[in-house]
Amino acid sequence: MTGNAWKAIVREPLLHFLLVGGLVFGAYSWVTPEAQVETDSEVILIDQAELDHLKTLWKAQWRRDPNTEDVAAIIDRYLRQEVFYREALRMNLDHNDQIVKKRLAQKMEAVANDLSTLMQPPTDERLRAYFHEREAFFTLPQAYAFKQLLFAPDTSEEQLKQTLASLRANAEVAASLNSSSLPFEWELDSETAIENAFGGGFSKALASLPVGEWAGPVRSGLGWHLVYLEQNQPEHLPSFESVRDFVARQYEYYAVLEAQEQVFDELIGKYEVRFSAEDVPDAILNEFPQS
Amino acid sequence: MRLSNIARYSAFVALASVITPVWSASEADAPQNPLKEAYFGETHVHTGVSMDAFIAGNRLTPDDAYRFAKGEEIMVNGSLHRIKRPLDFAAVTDHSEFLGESYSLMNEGVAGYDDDVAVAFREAPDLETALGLYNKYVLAPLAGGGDPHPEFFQGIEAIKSTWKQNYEATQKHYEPGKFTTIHAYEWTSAPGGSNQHRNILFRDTNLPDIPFSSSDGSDPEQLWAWMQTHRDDGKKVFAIPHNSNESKGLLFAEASLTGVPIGKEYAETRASMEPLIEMMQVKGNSEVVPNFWPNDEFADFENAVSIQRFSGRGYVKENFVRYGLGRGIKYNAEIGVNPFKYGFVGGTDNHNGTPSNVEEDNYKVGSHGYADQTAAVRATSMLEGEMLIADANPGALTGVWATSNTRGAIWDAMLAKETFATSGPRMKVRAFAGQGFAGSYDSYETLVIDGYANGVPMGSDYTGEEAPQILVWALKDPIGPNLDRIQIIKGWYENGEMKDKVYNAVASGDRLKADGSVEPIDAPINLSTGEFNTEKGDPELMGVWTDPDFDPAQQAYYYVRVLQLPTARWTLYDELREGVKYPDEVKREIVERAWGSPIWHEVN
Repeated sequence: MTGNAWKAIVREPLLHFLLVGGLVFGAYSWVTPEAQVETDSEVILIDQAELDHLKTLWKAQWRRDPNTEDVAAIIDRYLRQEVFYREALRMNLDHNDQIVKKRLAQKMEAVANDLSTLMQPPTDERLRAYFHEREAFFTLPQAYAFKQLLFAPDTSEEQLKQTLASLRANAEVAASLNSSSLPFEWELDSETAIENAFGGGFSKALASLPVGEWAGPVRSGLGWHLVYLEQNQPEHLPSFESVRDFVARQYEYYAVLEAQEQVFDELIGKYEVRFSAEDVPDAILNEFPQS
Repeated sequence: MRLSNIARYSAFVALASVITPVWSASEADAPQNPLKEAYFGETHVHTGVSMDAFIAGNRLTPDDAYRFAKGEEIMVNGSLHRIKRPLDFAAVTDHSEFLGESYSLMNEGVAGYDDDVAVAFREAPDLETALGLYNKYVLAPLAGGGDPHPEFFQGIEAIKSTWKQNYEATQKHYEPGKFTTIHAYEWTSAPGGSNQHRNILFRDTNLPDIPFSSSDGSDPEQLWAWMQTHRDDGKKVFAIPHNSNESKGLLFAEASLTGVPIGKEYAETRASMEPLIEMMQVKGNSEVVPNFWPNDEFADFENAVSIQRFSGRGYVKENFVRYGLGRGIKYNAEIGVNPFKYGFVGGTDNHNGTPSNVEEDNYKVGSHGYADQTAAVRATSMLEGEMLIADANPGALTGVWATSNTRGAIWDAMLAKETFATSGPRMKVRAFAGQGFAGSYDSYETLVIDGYANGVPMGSDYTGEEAPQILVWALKDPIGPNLDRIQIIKGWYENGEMKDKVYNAVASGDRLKADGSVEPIDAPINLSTGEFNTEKGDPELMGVWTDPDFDPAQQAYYYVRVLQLPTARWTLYDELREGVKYPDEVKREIVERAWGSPIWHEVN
C-alpha cells in the first residue's frame, strides 16, 4: 500500500458537498424505470417486472436466489430510495447539482457510446474495412527462422572462418558444436523479438544472409554467431481471413476509443459555445470561434 | 486519469472480459528442460482491484494486467503502453483488504456502486483528492482498529465475488509452456508503521474461499496459522515478505510482534511458511545500505533513502536482507533453527496494473497512478507518506530456474529457492556449491550437468566438511551492457558477532588481482544520449571460487551478486526525453545487478 501516516485532513470541498448532496445523488440509479416517475406521482408501483429486475440484480451480486427475508429487504431498500428520490425531485434538488450533472453526463456518455457501438457492430464487412484502413498496423513484421552457434567476442576471424568452412562441409555436426546456453534452433519469430533475444544489431544483419546455408559471422550483444537461415519471411500484409479474430479484437479495443471522441464531436456540433468570461485561454477561443 | 477517460476505462474493462480464453496446451504438453531454464516474471503487482490503486486512478483488471505481461499494449495511467519483452510468468497480488469494496467499485450496477463514497473514489479527479480519500477510508480505518469497511461494503459475499473474478482472470491467461499465471494476493499489515506485508502465492487451483486479510489478523503469526489450516487441508501455499527496508527493524527482530522472544516453534513455522524474500521493488533495494556496510563498494544502489523522512521509518541495520540472513545464522546457533533462511525474488509493487514494467528507458507512465504519472510530476513530487519519487525505481524482476514454464514447476522451484532477483535487466545467474568442479567446461550444458552432479544449486544446503567450491555462471541481458564481475557474499556468526564479507569471484578481462581486488572498469554512460559502453566487460562470466576462510564448524551463507556495466537511470531518460530537471543529487547512472539465492553451509 502506498503511504502509511498521512497527516493531511480531507480539505476537498467535493467530499463535504457529497455528504450533503449524497441523498440526492444516491437516489439516482441505473435501474429506475423512467415510466414510474412520470406516471401517478402518489403511487409507487412495484410490478412483477420491476421486482424480477431487482431480484436479478441482487442475484448477480450474491450468486444465489434471494430468500423471503432478502426480498423483503430488497423491497424495503427500494421504497426508501424511491420516496426520497421523488421528494428530492419535487424540491428540484437535482437541478444544478454538480454530482447529479456529472452522473447524468456520464450516463449520457455511456449511452452514446453504447449506441455508437450498436450502430457499428463488428460485422465482417466492417472488420474488413477496418483492416484495410489500417494495413500498416496489421502488416506482419519481417521474420526469420534459423539455427545458430555462438562464439565468444574474442574469437579470431580465422577460427570463425574455419568453423564456417567445416559446417558447410559437414552440416550434421552443427548441433553438437553448440556450447552456449542459447538454443540452437529458433522458430519463425519477428525481427524485434529476435533483436531482444540477441541484441547488438543481430536481427538487422540477418537480412543479408543467404537462406539454406551456413553463413556469418554475425555480431550480437553476446558475441559472434554463425547462422543457418532457414526462412526469411519479408514484411507482408496477411490475408484478412487468416487474422480475422485478431482484427476483431483490435477493432473492439481501439474503435471504442475513437467512437467516444466522434460522439463528443458530433454532439458538441449541435451547440453554439459562447464565452462571456474574460480569462478564457486562446486555445479554447480558437477551437470555438465567437460570432 | 481525467474524468473523461473513466468511461473509456470501463469500456476497456468490459471489452477485455469478453475476449475468449486461449488455452493452447495442457501442462503435460509443456516443453521440459531437465537442466532447467531461467523464467522471468512478476511476483508483486496491483490492479484496480486493490482499493488504494483504484482511488489513485487505476481501472485496470487482473485480465488487463496479464495481457500487459504477455506484451500487449494497454491504456495505462492515461497513455498506451507496453513492455519490450513479454514475461514468462506473473502473479497478480491485489490487497486482500477491501477486496469486497472493490466489487462494488468496479462492477457497474451492483449494490454499493452508486454509494456516494464509492462515487467519490471513482471520480477523484486529482492526486490531492485521491490522497484525502485514501487517508480517510484506507489508512485511518486500518490503523484505528474496529470495522475498517466503508458503508458501501456489501459483506463477505462481495469479497468472494472479487476473489472469484481474480481467479477467473488468472485461469483464463494460463498457457502452460508459454505463460504461467499464479493465484496470489497481498496480505497488508503495517502495525505501528512497520511494514510486515507479505505476498501469498498458491501452487494450483486448490484455493481458499476468501483470502486472509490484515483485518482478520495483523500479526504474521496469525497469517501463518491460517496458512497452516489450509496446508492441513491439502492446499499448497507460501508467503514472501517485502520492504524490510520499511519494517522499522521488525522483520528480522529479536522477538515476535507480540513481544515473545523468538523460539524454536516460531522459527520453524516462519522458515516453513516463508522460503523467499523480495530483495528489491519500486520502493527500494533492501539488500544493504552504505552507512551500515561501508566496506561494500556497491552498496549505494537504489537505497530509497528518503523513506527515512516519513512515518518514522529511519533506517536501522536490522532493516536489511543481509542482516536478516546473518541473524538467521545466529538464531541457528542459539536455538538450532534458522527462521530467516530466505531465497531471493524481485518484484515491482507496481500499482498501475502493469507487471514488470521495469525498463529504465521505458518508464513513461510511472508506477503509482496520479502520484508519478508524468515526468513533470516525477521530477518534483513525493509518494505521499513514503518517499521522493526521484528516489523510487521502476522495480525489480524475478528469475526462476524451473524445468518447465508451468505453475507446478515454477512454484516448486520458488519453494526450493532456486531463484534470483534482478534490479530489472534479464541477466541470468546460476551457482552450485560442491567439490571437484572443473576450471572450465566445453559447453554450458556440461557445466550445468557437473553443477548438479557434484554440487547443490542456489537455495540449497552445502553439508561438506571441506571448503566449498562455488561454481558460478552469469549471462548478460542480450540488449543490456556487458558484465563487470561476479561477487560472492559470505556471512557467518563468530564470537558473538554477525560478520559478512564481499569476495570478487570472477571479473571480466584480467582485472581480478591476486589479493582479490578488482581493477575498476571505466565505462561511463553517454550522458547526452543514455547509451552504455558496448566495448568493455564480458557477455558471459564463469568461474570456480573456493572459500579461503572456511571453518567446517561454522554455519555460513553464500550468495552471488552479478554486476553489469553502468547504464542510464530512468531519471536521465526523463530529462532527455521530457526536458525536466531533477535535483543534482539524484542519480542518472546506475550499476544494475542480479542476486542469486544463498547456499547455506550447514554443520552436521
